[in-house]
Amino acid sequence: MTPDYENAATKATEILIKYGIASAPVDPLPILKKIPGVLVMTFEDMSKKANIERESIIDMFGCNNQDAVTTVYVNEGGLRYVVTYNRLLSSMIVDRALARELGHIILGHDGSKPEDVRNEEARCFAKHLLIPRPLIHTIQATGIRITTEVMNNLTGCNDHCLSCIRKLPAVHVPAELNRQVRDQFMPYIVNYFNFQRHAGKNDGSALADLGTYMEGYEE
Amino acid sequence: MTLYERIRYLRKQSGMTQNDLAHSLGYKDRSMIAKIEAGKVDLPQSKITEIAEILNTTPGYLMGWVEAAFDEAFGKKQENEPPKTPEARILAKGIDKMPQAQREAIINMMQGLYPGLFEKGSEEDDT
Repeated sequence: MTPDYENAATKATEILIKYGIASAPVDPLPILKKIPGVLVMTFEDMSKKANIERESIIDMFGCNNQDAVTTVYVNEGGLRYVVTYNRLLSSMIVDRALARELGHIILGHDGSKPEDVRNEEARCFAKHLLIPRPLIHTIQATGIRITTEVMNNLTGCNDHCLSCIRKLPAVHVPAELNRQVRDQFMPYIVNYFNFQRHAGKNDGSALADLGTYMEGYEE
Repeated sequence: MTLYERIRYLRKQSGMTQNDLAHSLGYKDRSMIAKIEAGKVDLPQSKITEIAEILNTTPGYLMGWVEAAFDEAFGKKQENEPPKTPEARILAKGIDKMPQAQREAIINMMQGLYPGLFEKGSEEDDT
């Protein structure tokens, strides 16, 4: 069974639109908290509630990778998700882990797909959530070369995160969705150019290029 | 639900027989599973982790932690809805701070003043 990357990327883009995300770094935690039926808590909180040492809790929840895990169960109220995560890791690792867990929930993963397929789809979801493609494409359209530094500044993702994410395929998302995301991010992009100019890294021509690009697009 | 009931519940959900689960866990026959589900065996942590993996859940669910945490976070809020109007909130705040005798006095007073209001559902409100 091959992972459905396209669906994962589209769902991630829809989430960006639905929750009006207009700047980076994209924080998955508030999004997770807004989804009905989802409870997010740290391993510490869970260990206090269960009255068991933190280390045992992590052992019991995250046997393989100790970053985050989602438990799904059904009760009278319907499907319930409890996301437990490791607060003591670096924020970028936590963000990526939570974005993956959000992916599992949004993509409605259950036992019907093999685990590696589920994980691969969740990773693709996280990639498109944390690094909105329209953001990169708009910058590219103004003639700026996308270097690691530009990516760091734009998305808030560090080198390690970018290198992990780069291995995943970037897939086609409906153009209409991409356009909406780009419009949402436009003030952020303009601000990015202004900041660059202020820092003496460009002479404002990129901003002018952006204007031309937008005019061309509007027609 | 207890740990043993949850194992039974999830096993049935995933369409496994006691025999299937026994084989996945490396037991020869279903007798051990029957004992586990009847709560006659103390399960070590490693076994719980193994069972959780087979049943496609986390040990935290089998242990009842996640359900309890969820109910604590969301369940109780739904039971006790906060008062809707600002006046009701002020009254509720005041009532919470009062000792029992004062609360009863206030309720008696209100019943005396506005008897019509307390005819129906007054017992429900008190609990």
